[in-house]
Amino acid sequence: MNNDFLKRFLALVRLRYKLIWAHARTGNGKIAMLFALYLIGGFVALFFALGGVGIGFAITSIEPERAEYFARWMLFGLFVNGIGLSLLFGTGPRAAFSEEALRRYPLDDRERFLVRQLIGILDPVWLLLIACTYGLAIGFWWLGGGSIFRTLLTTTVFIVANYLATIVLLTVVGLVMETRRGSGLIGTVVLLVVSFGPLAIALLINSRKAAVWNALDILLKMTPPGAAAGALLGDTAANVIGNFILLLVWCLALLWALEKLEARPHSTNQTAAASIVWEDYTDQLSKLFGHRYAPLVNKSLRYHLRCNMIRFSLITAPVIVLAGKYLIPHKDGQGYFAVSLAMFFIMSGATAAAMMLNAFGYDNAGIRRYAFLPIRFVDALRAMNLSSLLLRAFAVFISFALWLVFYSSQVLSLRMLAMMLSTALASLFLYNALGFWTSVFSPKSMDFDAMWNNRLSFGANAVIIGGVLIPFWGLITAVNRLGLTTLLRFWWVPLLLMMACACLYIFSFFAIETSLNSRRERLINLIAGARD
Amino acid sequence: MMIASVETETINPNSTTNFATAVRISNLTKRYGNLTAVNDLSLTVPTGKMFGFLGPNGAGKSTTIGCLTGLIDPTSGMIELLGQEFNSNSITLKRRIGVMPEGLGLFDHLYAHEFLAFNARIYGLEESTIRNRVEELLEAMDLASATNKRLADFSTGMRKKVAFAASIIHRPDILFLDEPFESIDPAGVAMLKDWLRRFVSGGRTVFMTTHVLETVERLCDDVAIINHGKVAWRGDVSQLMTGGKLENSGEQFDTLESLFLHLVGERHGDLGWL
Repeated sequence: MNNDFLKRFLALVRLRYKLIWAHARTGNGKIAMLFALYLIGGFVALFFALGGVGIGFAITSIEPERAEYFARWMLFGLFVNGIGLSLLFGTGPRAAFSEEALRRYPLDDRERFLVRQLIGILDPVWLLLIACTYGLAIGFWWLGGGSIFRTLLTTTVFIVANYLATIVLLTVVGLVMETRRGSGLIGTVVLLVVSFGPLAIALLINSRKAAVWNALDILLKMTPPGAAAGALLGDTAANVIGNFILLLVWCLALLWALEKLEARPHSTNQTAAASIVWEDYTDQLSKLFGHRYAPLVNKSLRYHLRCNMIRFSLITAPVIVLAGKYLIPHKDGQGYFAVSLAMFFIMSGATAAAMMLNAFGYDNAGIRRYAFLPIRFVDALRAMNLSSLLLRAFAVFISFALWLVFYSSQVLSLRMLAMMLSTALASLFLYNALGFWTSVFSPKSMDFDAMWNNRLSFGANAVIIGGVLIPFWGLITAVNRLGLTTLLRFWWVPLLLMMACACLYIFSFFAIETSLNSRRERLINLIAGARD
Repeated sequence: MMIASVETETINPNSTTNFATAVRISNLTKRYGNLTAVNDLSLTVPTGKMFGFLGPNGAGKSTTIGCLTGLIDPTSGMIELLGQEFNSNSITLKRRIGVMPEGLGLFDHLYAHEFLAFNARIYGLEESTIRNRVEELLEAMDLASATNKRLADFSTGMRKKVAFAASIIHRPDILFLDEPFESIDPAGVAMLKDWLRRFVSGGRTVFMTTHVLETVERLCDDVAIINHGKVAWRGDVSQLMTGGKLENSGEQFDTLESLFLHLVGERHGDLGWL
């Protein structure tokens, strides 16, 4: 690594941080930063209050003979966090410069590779993760003894292994997503992991299957966290050296895999010409909305159904409702009903919400077209909202049917069914009504291809987060405090709520026009300006 | 055969407008805070003209076109299109204009035929007409082989062709084009020029901005140059083709470029190190 390369690298790091800072200075960026600081602050406080140096101290002083076992699982937790942060929130390697972006700079192939990885690892959120890992390792060293050099070296290699595993996984996901059915495949895998992973773990814990746990622990010993724990806290020199070599082997293997993956030619989206299909199901569906809205609904339905994030959200909705049966602790029929009510409210509100809450966000420069086409600008927003309502209603009714099948063994009265359906529809109308307002007052340019990253505006995030937290705790508390019998006596309340939400929807449908017209130009500049 | 059909279908010489003035702008002003993008601009464009609207970057061309097409609300002033007052809510008038805006305004995740059909449906064309015109336009624009590719995956030139096709699919009376020839291959440019000439010969009007002054000299018969939001020069440039000269305040110019540079001020930054 020569001096010139170092200068160029540092200039690029500065540029990366300037870009982060520039983004942070925008309206949405400030809010995102506030959220991030809040989350990071909470995470740091939690870690240092309970963990980090403290955990290292506690483990080594209380149960020194089991220190390696605990360290293995703790490092595994950090390892998974590193991957999760990058996969779900787009931090770390995913947020760094792309290969294409770096090609304009005077760097050769190897330098570009190195710069991308180093900048990826220097991402602010990853730095936090690195600090936590070092904190934990120093905790082990502080009271467990051993060499500080060994501790720091092992931790550094472990962090490199964590980073390499993350970027290999991200690259594999990227390659799969490039294929025609890739998003569906990845979506199914994530769905299975999210829905049934915790269930499987819960079953293991409940049944205390020690043999399974032992098998998992042995398996974990072979992974980077297991090897790092062994190298940090191994009781013999052979154990320490053996584990350190295993960790190095992991790094080399992952590096080799990464180089091989990156050397693969990218798919070019070049496909053979196809004959034009003039009448498909979106054409049929959109005709339901009349001459005025049909073309706009048609376009919006196509957008919704081609967006991986929306598709995934629609597909997972029924499963998430059913997952409530297994994932949330409840003892009796009362508990089932409370959880189901809450889950239905959340599911019918949050499903496919991204496009509805930032309606113009996916249009980018296309938003200009609504202004010069012979339509009322508000009709474009209404059409997008209507198509979202249609798709979300479809998901709700499928979920409701599945819920009936799964809960058929529980005591279900007509009142309960009415409450359930009313709650779901109330949520549907409420969220779509709010979608009108967030699209106009909290707009943001969106990334159509982003699958996992949360790029919603502040308003949209507030609606989603508030819409998940309030009903969840509100409904469960209400059921627990009042009791199921009392609640069922007020079965008409959700019905009234549904009517109120429907009225709010109708009001928003018409009232939004004035606000939209007064902010039209600003909205166009904000959405279209960022991309052109 | 198909291409000829597009030309006769899209540019119908019998559908001329009955107004002598296609565009009339009176005292148009657009301010963004302290910045005045268009400053008391007045302009009249007769029907049946190929009108070139020129100016340096930031002169106010796109803002003016934005006001003329309903994208931007003027701060003050009046716009008339085809003899009727126009504003961003003039839905009936918007049916009679075609626009290729700055940034093209495409919906990236639609296929080309879906996008063209969407526009045609919004303009209220019959379904059978839509299908015929979309297929013919794709064929003529050499885009028929790209029917399995979303607009997001199109090259800049292909995107421009799609935006142009969308602007003419409903046979408008006035066509507003913002930089129509940029990024299109020479064969495509020649085809567009030919179509625009036919369009105008049928009594329709083209109002376009471009930085390619040679194209303006050969294509336009009426030109306005604006600078700092005001009209700096207005005249007929067709005389250049017959050896004539352009005149401004007693001075004569052989080319539109020399007149343009004279009006906007030549910039000679001294990059000694270069």
